[in-house]
Amino acid sequence: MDKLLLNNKTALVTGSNRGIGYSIMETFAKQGCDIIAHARKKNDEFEKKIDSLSKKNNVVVKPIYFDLQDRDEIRSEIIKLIKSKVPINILVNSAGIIHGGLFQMTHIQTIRDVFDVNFFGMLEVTQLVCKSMIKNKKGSIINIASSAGLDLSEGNCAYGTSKAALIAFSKTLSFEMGKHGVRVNVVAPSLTDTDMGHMPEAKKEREILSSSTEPFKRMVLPEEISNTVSFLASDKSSFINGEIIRIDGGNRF
Amino acid sequence: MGKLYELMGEIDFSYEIQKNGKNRNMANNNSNIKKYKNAFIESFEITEDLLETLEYQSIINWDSVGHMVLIAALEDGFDIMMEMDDIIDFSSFKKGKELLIKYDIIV
Repeated sequence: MDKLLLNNKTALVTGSNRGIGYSIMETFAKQGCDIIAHARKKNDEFEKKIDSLSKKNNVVVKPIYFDLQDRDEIRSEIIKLIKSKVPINILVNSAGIIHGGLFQMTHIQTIRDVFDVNFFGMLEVTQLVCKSMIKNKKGSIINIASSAGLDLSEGNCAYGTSKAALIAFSKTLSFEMGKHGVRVNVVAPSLTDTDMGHMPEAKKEREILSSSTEPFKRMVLPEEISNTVSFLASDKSSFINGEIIRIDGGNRF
Repeated sequence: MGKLYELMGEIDFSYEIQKNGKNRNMANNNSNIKKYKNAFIESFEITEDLLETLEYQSIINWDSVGHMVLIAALEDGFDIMMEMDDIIDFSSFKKGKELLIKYDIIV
């Protein structure tokens, strides 16, 4: 039997209570990774899910709760985590919120709110976790962006631009953290078959996809993302740094 | 498996304790100066005789990359998390001693 890809590693996965984040957590657990699973608020259903995941895969999965719009809460919880001396080998910034709409029909405050979660909250988490990775001289950070952050078509003044900022930030961080033995990469999936992908905000993308003549006329499956993230988290990708990997079946719209 | 569980179960609340000014490091000056010096010596691969006059960017290894290695070593050694302003202000061996007082660490 092959050695598990993420054996003896510990990952912090934000936004792991559903969607892409949950799929990443599931894949990591199958690969032998201990996980610190983030959700915004304490909830029993989430704790049952992670307990079951832990038992099924014989790994440790512990919850951590903070609101990415609350700087003090983020700092308090991540500092506690770092001070517990848990070695964080992998950070996956997966938490995010969606918003679609023309710029002229979007409140500036809405754009701020989207950036608070998708960008500034992620910065707070990453800055603290980097301290731990610098000390360990090793680590892998994977940021979950979106093809919307690369294509930036109409209606993407909030979500798309926040993901574009995430992509740009990841690029610069990859240079800075590479000097400390830490890799930073991005995956940019297109519309994904999750609750978020079925929200009204993604209606336009769904319509385009259904009328598309592109080779893969469907949404991305969450596991197609988590398999790539798992590879980037592992030592199998030890010389991949600063990359942005599209996961979109070649579809462009 | 197991190690994470044990560690998470023993979360150290010294950050909160420090904020209340009750840090045990206050009474431990000798070991503090040793830890403080070692953080510089190990981070920059230098000898002790250089320390007293050492300043940011006065040697090749104390560049911005080395600075983050030093901060990580100090935070780990003293079990603290430094504020961003202090990380930026940490401009010399001497200045660092002043800044650590804020965290109830007397060097």
